[in-house]
Amino acid sequence: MPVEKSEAHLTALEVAAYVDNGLVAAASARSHLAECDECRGEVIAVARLARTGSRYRWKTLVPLAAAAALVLYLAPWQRPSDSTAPVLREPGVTTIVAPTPIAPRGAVRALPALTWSSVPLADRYEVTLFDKDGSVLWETQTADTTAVVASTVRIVVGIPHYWKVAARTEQGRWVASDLTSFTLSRARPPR
Amino acid sequence: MGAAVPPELSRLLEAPPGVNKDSDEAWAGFVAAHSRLMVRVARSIDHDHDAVMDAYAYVLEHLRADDCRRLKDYTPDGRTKFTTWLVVVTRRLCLDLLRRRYGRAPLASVGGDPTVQRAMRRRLVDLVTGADPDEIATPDKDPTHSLNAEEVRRTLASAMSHLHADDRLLLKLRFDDDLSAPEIARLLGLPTPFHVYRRLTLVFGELRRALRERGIHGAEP
Repeated sequence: MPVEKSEAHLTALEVAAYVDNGLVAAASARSHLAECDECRGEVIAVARLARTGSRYRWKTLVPLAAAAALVLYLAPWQRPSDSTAPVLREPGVTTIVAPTPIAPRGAVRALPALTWSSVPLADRYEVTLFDKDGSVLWETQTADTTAVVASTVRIVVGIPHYWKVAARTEQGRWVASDLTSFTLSRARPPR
Repeated sequence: MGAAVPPELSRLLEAPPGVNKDSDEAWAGFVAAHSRLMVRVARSIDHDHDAVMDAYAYVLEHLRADDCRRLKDYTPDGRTKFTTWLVVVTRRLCLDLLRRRYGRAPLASVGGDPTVQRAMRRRLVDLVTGADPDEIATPDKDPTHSLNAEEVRRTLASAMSHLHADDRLLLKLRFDDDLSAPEIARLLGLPTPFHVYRRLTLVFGELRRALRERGIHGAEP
């Protein structure tokens, strides 16, 4: 039973309509689903997600979601001067490598500095540190690939913190790392 | 049924274009209302914590891009919920991120493991013909057995192609995707799983008749 696709895949609205309305959905969509493994897989996955909503343990992710949302408000690539993306197409796949957070990650005993991988042609890095609720604790810019967190910044022992680094490359384009978490296992010594 | 444009989306789409206080506030309202859903979708694609948060950030970035161009694509049709549509869009963006990083994975239907899928399809042949052609088509047996098995498969595929699209979809969901009857009932909007079994029985009967008309009364020659 090979996959046969003689027509375009279902749109997001058609998939949603099928999940919500089943056989009441458009006959063309039903007919397409009978032939297209990819769209059928999408419908099944979406239906399962829609059904399992109430069982999801959301509480553990609230602070992380808030942190990620905040990153988007503050991240350099969101600023108006950078909004040159085409209107009707996906942004082109970038060949610029994002900086990779090296340390700290996961559980750490000390926080000597934030360190990340260098990005070719990057002339500036912007580092942002968030607390568990997504509030910005500290932010700095540097040309180096390491930054010492100011001693005035209060890192709470045993509580996850998050950080992210963005690199500015040629033409003022920013490329950001993933949001990385770490948890300090003992208090920082006073400086 | 919640098919209208939700208020937080209306506020966002009516906010002045560009990055400004009003649009930031409207965006914050939208994110607060739907973050839970979007993180859940991201988590269904990747279980690694950092990867989930990264996908979530990617989704937010793309939903807000170009003055929320993607969100403007949502057209309420009176029956389809915005949240269902958002699940589809979020999932597509998460997969998009995954493909950008790791390339496109080979297509696999929900059943996943090809061995399982083959076994499920054999069951369909078995149910309709009363025998398993893969088992009779072993190399140490008469070659005519293999030919017969192939003939059964071909004829069955042909008979299936003449079924109504809804019945073909029913068979695909059951034998390609290995869904349970309750799940199929929900997807097809049938009242109970028993309706699925009844419908399957009718379709098997139809397929058997079609095979008999083509001279096939079982998998044995």
